[in-house]
Amino acid sequence: MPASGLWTLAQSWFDGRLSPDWKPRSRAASQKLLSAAGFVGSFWSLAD
Amino acid sequence: MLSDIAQRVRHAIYRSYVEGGIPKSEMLSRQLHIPADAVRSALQELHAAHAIVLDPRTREPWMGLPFSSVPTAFSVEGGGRSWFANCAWDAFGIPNLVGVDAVIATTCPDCEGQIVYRVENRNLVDAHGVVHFAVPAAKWWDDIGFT
Repeated sequence: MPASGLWTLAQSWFDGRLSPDWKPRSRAASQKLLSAAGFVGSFWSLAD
Repeated sequence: MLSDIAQRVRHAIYRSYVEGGIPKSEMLSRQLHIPADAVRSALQELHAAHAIVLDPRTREPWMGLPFSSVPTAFSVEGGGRSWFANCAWDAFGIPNLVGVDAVIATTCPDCEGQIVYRVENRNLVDAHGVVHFAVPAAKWWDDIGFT
């Protein structure tokens, strides 16, 4: 994966972690972030 | 759903990381006025929820993604502070999360050459190179230390 793609993902992946009200993100929401950053295909599927 | 105590402990862990510290259960207990055994239970709850990762030996916080409590091959410096990240992804995550300009340094696992990235105004300057992922996404949490 080009570093630029990983940078795009890193910009959204950790959002909210510093908030006192942070809650674990759903698998579907995480998959959506991966897809939006171009991480698509079976290798990037979070489902078992 | 995390318990109130777990949420308070989690937030204190992240505050510590952001300030460049290394959170420990004793410190958390003192800081939050929560008995040590309750902090240990909260840490375990957070670990089970993948909200943090505990050191398998000491049961102290090891990772609060993107931060690492132990030195790694990925260093991040910015805003007068420094951190270790768990991987390239996390190294890119720290400047975004903390909101600072930063210098990220690591070593190429192939040629052992130094790789440096600069982050300015929330942009990755001169985004070069590729990042190799060895573990498919569905297996990341099977052994997050290896991942």
